[in-house]
Amino acid sequence: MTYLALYREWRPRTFGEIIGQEHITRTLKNAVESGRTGHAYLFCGTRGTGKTTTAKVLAKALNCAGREGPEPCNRCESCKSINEGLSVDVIEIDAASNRGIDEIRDLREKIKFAPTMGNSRVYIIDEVHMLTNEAFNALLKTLEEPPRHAVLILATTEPHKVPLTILSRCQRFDFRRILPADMIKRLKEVAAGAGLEVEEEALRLIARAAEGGLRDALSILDQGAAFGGMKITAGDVHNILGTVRIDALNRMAGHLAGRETGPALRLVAELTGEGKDLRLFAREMAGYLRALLLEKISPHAAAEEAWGEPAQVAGMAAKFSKEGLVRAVEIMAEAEQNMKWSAMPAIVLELALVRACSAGGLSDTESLSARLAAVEEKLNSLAGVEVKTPAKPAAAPDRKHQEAPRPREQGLAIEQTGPQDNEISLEKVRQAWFDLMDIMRRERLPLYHNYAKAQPLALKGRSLTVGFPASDVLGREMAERADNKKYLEGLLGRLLQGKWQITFKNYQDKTEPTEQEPAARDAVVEVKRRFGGEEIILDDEEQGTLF
Amino acid sequence: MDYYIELLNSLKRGVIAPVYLFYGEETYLREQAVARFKEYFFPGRDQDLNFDLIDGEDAGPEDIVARAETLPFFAAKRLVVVKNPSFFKSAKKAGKEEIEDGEETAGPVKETALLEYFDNPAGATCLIFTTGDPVDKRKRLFKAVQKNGRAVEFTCLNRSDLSRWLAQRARAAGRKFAPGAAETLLDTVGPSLQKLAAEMEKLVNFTAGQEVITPAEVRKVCPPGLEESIFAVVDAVGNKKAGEALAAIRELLAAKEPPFRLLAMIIRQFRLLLQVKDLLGRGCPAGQIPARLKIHPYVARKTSVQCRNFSRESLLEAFQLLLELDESVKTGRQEFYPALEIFLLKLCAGS
Repeated sequence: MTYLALYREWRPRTFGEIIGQEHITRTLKNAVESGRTGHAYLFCGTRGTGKTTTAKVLAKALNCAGREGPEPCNRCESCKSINEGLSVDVIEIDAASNRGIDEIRDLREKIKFAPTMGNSRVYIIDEVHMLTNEAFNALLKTLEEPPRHAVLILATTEPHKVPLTILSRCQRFDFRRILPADMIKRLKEVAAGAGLEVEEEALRLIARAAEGGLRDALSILDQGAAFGGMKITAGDVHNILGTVRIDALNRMAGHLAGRETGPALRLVAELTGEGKDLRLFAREMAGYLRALLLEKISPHAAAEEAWGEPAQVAGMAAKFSKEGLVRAVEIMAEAEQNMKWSAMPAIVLELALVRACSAGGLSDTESLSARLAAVEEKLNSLAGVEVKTPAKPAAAPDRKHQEAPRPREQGLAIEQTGPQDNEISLEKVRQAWFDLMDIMRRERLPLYHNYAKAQPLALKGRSLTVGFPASDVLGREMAERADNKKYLEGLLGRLLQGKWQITFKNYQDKTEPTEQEPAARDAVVEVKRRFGGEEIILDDEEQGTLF
Repeated sequence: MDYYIELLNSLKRGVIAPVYLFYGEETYLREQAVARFKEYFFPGRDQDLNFDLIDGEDAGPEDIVARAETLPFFAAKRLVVVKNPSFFKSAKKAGKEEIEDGEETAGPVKETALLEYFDNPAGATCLIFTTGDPVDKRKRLFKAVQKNGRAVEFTCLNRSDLSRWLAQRARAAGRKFAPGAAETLLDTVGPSLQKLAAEMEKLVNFTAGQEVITPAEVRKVCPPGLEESIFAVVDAVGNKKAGEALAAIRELLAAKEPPFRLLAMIIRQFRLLLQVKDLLGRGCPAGQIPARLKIHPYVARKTSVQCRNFSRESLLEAFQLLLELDESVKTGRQEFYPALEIFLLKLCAGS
């Protein structure tokens, strides 16, 4: 005998074998038993949920000669010929390819004829939503006045495309998607019947990939059998679907929760090495994170998603904070989209993972972006100086750039001073110093030039010592004038909060407040002096990631 | 419902007009009325020589008149039923169709045949026109029917009539509704008796062997409409049941409901929530809300209940999120389902 695909070989032949549609089979069985069947049915639901199968079983039940109770016997002539698709009383029409009015007119002509073998003539019209408007109108006439012996079963995946006039003439049954639990049960039966050995995890994977359509599930099982012989493992299924093993997803989620950037990136490299499609991975990761979020918000609601052992999912969800998960989900979803357009999707994914790893600590990323903005700003002004455009026109467009981020910087300052009010480090002041000079340049240009060579030397609480080079006595004296001093104190207060006291000092070039490499520092100071640039002090770790 | 009972009562008394026009959206009752007439004339018989069913879309007025004027065959009376006649439609619409058919001058001429017949109907014939299309009450034809016969409008039943009808139906099938079950049925199916009859049939079959129909069974057997499903989603969000909300959305998508229609419906529901919340907050009586917002009373009732689960701020935030979602999906920055899932999760997670 020729090979039959699993889904055809294992197509249910009685109402009892149809799974996951109890609300429909029970209704139909009772209707058949009591003889109260309707003239027109509309079966709708996703593919592979049992529409055509149910239609055929109903057709058999209506025509079966040896029927006991509601189930067809599958032994009598009528049942056999229907099973083989040879019956003259059960006519299957594929409306997708016979969608015109002529086909429906033909149906109207022939539906009048009495059935030859059984009691009723059953028309099964598949994909009925594909009919043209005229064809629907013609069909409506038949539905309005059906002959006594006729039963019309319309099947469709898209009921909203069927006209209301048709809908209201039919008993409508909505086929539900089959729950993973039911599907796994059925898959086990089929596998046992076909002599296949299937791993539990593989079954779960198939059930999830099939999205409620049993025919899809059986097709995957079929492919698995062709692929892995009589034993089907989770790995086989992953290979067929091109998906990633749940443990990879779990590991990645673990890295994200633990904020382990390195291992996360290594895992990506590993997947690339295995030849996995990274976009698919990003998609699954986003899906998995959403499932975790769902688990976090309403525990055990995700059961039907079949993402692995419920306990495992719950355990993983517990490792995240709610906000962290939301951020991570968003980052991954965005990355998945961006990967579509990117020439180097791996980089998009890696960057997203780096960001997702730090998603828990929002302040980190925000401060980083604030400082990046500052760098950009300086770069802009630097560009302005280099082309030597007159100062004023150049400053005008710049001002927008400079002013825009200011509130953020102030906010940043609050953030930093807030919790540890008295511990403003010299480092912070030095960073702020350049902003301060910037403001000064705009507000009081002469003073700016005066301070150009000055820099913060020492800090004690909120008393700052500002140093001028030994040669610049005049600068110090200018700075010490009461109104100038007050202005500077106010400026510091604006940027770094609090009430400031400033003392001025001349310092020897050698005692310049620098670290170990005086030569390098000198060069930096010189550059800053000439270009009015800003120096961003980075700690080691960040240096690693930025450069 | 009164018009129907009155019609049947006069039929019982044997008062029959020579011409009837049944029109209106309550298709089920219209068909029942025709069936009752048929039963009255030809008891127990499905086909009869003196029963004529004419498709009004194919047959012309002369044709109809000719058949109406035919004498009954071995009987006292003839019944002629014309389904979906086009000549009661307003002139504009009918005119348009005729232009399409290329016989624009034929209209008034054709109708005169009917008018003449209405003035002098055959005594042995009962002629019934039945149509679900709107009729033009200013037309001479309509007035002629009113003068010489009866025009009956079949309107949808009100809620209490519907409940009574359902209870009666259930009794006839040997069932009873548990408290709330009939309401659930009406809420999910709507006021169309035709649909209700079909759903009742299903329910009766589903509950074979038991007496009581419970609301849970109604929900199991009767598929909810789109609006109802969206209510369920928003309900679930209000009760912070993210799982249920997502399952409902997946179900709708699986039924190939176009994503943007879903989105539009969700946005509409949140807009309604905001509007209703605002009105209630400003002391508008609940009874006036349907009229003010021009929405169905049922929708208003449902929305008012949902309101309680949301604060004004959370509604505004949801609205903002929806706007962003709409934009990001339409500009291709996000896919619909993941985006919607994140939105619903955020909403359930928030506060």
